[in-house]
Amino acid sequence: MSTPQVPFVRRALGRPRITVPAVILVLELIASFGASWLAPYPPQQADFTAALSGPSAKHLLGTDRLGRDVLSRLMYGGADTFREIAIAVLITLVIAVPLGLVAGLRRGRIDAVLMRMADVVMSIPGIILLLIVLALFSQSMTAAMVVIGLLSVPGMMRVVRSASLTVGRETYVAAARVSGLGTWRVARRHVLPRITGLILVNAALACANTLLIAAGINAIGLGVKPPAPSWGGMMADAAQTLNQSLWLAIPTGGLVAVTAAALIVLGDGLRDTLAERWSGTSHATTTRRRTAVATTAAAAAAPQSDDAWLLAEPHPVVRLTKVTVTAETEHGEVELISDVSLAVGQGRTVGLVGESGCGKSMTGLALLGLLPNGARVSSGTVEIDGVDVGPYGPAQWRELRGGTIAFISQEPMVGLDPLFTIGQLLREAVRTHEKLSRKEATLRARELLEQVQLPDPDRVLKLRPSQISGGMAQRVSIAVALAGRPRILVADEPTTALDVTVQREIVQLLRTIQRDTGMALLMISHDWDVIAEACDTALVMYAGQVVEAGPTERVMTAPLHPYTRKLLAANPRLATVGEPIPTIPGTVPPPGQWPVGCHFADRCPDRVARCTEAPIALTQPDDQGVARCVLVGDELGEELLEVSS
Amino acid sequence: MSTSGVTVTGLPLLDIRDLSVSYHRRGKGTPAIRDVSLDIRPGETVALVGESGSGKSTLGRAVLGLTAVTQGTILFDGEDITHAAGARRRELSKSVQAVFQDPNGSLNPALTVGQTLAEPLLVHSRDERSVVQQRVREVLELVGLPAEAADRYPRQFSGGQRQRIAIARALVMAPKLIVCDEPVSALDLSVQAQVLNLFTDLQRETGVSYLFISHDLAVVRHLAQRIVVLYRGDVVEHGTTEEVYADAQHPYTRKLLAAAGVQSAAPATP
Amino acid sequence: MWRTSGMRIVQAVPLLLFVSALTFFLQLFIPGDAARSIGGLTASPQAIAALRHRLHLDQPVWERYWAWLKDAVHGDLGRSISNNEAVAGTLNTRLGVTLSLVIATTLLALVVGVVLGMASVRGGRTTRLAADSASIAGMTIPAFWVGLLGIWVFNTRFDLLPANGYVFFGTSAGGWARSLVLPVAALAFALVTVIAKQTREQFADVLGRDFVRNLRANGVSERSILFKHSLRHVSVTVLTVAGNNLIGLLGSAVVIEELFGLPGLGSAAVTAASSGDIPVIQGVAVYFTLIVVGLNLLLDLAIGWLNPQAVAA
Repeated sequence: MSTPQVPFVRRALGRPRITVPAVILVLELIASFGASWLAPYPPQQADFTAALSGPSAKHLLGTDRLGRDVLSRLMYGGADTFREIAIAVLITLVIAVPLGLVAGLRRGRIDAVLMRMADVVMSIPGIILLLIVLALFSQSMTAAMVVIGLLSVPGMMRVVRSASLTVGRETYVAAARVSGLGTWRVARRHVLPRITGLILVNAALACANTLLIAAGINAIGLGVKPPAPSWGGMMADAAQTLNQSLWLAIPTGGLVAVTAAALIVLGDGLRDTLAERWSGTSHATTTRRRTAVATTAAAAAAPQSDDAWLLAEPHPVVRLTKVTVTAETEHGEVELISDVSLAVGQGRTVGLVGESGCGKSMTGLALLGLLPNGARVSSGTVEIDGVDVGPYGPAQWRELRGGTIAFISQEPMVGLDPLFTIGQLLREAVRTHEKLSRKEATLRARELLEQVQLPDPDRVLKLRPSQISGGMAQRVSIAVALAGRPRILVADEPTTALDVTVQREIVQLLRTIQRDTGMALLMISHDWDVIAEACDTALVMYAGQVVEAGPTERVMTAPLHPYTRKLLAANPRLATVGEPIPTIPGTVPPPGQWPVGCHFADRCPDRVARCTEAPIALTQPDDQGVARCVLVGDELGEELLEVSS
Repeated sequence: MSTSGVTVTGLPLLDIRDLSVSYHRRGKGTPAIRDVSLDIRPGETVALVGESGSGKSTLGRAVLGLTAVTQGTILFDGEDITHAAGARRRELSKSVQAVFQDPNGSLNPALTVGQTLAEPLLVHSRDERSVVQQRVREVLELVGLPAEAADRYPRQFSGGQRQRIAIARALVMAPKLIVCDEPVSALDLSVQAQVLNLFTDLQRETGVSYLFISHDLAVVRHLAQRIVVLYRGDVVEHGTTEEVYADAQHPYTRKLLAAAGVQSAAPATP
Repeated sequence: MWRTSGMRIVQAVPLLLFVSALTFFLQLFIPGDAARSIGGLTASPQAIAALRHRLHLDQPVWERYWAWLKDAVHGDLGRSISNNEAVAGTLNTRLGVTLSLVIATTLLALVVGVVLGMASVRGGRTTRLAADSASIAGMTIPAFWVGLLGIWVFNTRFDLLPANGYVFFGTSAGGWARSLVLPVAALAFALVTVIAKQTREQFADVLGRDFVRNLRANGVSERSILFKHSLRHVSVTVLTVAGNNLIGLLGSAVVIEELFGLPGLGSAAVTAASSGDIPVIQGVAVYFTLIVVGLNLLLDLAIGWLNPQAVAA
């Protein structure tokens, strides 16, 4: 089941994003620290006959205006450069990492004090401190590097703090503390490993930054005194002789840039490799035996579903006929929903019910033409007001959305743009659909807030989404959706994120609006109470398919499909107290891992051989709905079902 | 009397008296809970019910020592643990454990399940590797997972399975009390029932007590012998499960009951 | 919004005190004697003694600081050691140069960075690769070198722009602009890549949020989603990033002033640093701190106007 763990070093060596910069840096280090053995010339040896020559066999990187060998000088200058970087960055890391961890994990007063201090240090114009230190300490680069190291502490500390704050809020850290781990053990065991990559990246950035600053200082004639070689000083030499030759500038500045780039790329590469071990998506490595092949085969061999009942809604505003949505993944085309038919008539409410990952939301998004990137309707038709919208482009969809078909989502707080007032948001929605003056739009916005029964609409218009409660925000979302006087509203789990006492109010509000406007409603919810309260018809979805549909009352009291029966029985609201709650073993298979036959077969207590042989079609046993089960409408099967329930 | 068939006797295991917790923001102390009292006896489940912002999670965190207490006392096994810290808190963690809501965040993605489960053991003792592994296998079996699960990473499990692992971690030290903070509300209906039954079975087998924090009265009905309802930091209702369902006193409780699809026997106030 | 601005101004006072105190108290850490360190090893004992007296090094450091502070409150930042001119007077004439450079660079980088960032949001693999490479180039290529190449192309090869010196705005607006083109471009290069990267990432993030899907689902036009909603979110971040980069920008500005021979605060500080003219560096420290505080204040006002929430938080 689990992927074999390749050791970190071996994995790292396998990728050029790590090996290429690592090789560059190692070569530079060898050349720099071994300069006295490896360099072709001493750094000060002048050859006036060959001044400012370009690259040649004798001088691989040419010579400067005194005829000194550029390659040799770069090698001799390198050792100082790398030493300087090491001093500054080590100082930064040694101070900033522990402080950041303490601030992020302990929080409270320590955190406040450290952050205040960081603010002050970060407001100091660092360059001026560098200049003072250079002036006071006889141009000592070591002193300058200590200053750079100290000045970089607050930045690094903030990074470490905010990362450990985030990791520290994870539930498993709370669990570890409950298990008796102290702050340091939590830091070492749970937090540091998670943020090592981040620290590496930032250390690499700090190295690159220090390199640039050091080169800059030397380039303006401070720090290293000529004729001693330094990378920055050689850039300054190049500036002086620019009129005669550009060449000198190329290897000097180029070397600084290449070194800095190698550091940054290496840091990024190491982080990515470190994170790989655990940051896969869930199920990524589990069973995939009967997947993609099975789904494509299924589509081909699928018997025709008898979905006439589903499509028989009076005056349908929207209609999906045998819609299949597929997405392009790394494992090929994978079905997200399969053979879904539904219609919603004017003034009617249809409920889509099922567990998460069953394709309810995807069905709603298909209806709105808002499928996520990479997903598309691969077969079947979507009709809105009797028109097939398959060939619609963005402009035509925009015409439909808001005006004919509108949408509200689960999380009302993140569903509204936080930077605008509710008045601004509503006015924009109103003016998207009607040509109104600002004043008229405000009046209409006010009217909409009254329609969603928000008290004191004039005050609410001036508030921002962050200033209102979740229930109010959901009402505002509904008002925004109503702005274009839609004929159908798609409500995707509109109550799930709300407090239980508010949930019912929102459902009742939607019912009232429907009664007043004749709007149709597609209610997507996992909550049977919401479905029972709001919906005329209920469609039960399981693993991408509609497995049962019928009048809500009938579905809930006399379910046809074993999944519906089991799901209703597992509801703690309906189960008998004092007895174990009936359960469904196993979990919903994710897209790409659906079996060939009935998607529920693996978990079904009534499974027979026929269930897993071929795709199952919807059948209509009577005028009270449809079900996707071989046992329904089959006399022998019905008996089986009777016995087991 | 009790719904899970566990005999509830003796002195309270956990005794919370007049507990207040305030959060400080910009100098102003906002009370999250005010003068809350409740007790849990060995083998008992007490449900703490309320909506977001009611302070129910704060109370749980205070018991676990994750939030500082402003006033009042928490007694565990007769001992004052209100401000227990350091070694005392570490010692206490053998007896008090927790299961949290979020099945995705409750396990360190970088550690294998076995490493996570062994963690409390390593903090408290220097047992042999084989002893630790034996105990890890035992708790995995207890929550209905195969022993091989120990070598896998959390991402390879579904939400319900992860919550089982989180429960296994809480069980490793054989605690007397587990604080369960919304342990099933992020789970799908069919999985929710599995986990609820597991809680019931574990209590029957190990005699552990639960402080069961939830927003859903329909869920706690299956587990709790007593129910405490919190509303904006105050206890507004406190009684046995039967009492609360049959005769809720506070209008807020009746509102919660209605939302949970359970009609209170008491006439609703107009 | 006014409260945060007020806070910034109030906080500037302790910051100024801190920075100026730092410039004095750092002298405590010098091994041996500041006068010797400044005068150099070749200076005669008499010269050192004279220098020590002129710098009041024979007094305790806090007395010197107190004296300096009292004068500084009245706008007197002491006198230069090298030419005995009043520091404040010298630096006042140089302030405009540095301000022109820094403000022009920030504005240019904001405009170009945001435009490039937005242009690359919708791109595919190639665009992403190009954008990533550009952002690494921005972090790794020294401003000095960009300036060097700029000089070579636009001055040495094609004589289009001046490579050295500064024309005051009062003398000739055109000349002023021409003298700033290359320095500003060299200085802006890194900042442009930073801002472009931020813009791109922020846009991608904002466009993936729930509220954008909801706006789309309810028929709001793509133009409004991009330019009204998303850009506002992105601007807040981008302005914050620009503010965080101000200090680094001043650092690079010192190098660039030196390369292009601009008579700004930075080149004054460099000259002072190589000759040990401590009063001048201390003066520049005050000016730099004020520039950072002032420009951050402007950025804060812009952010507060775009995002009233940031103020409430």
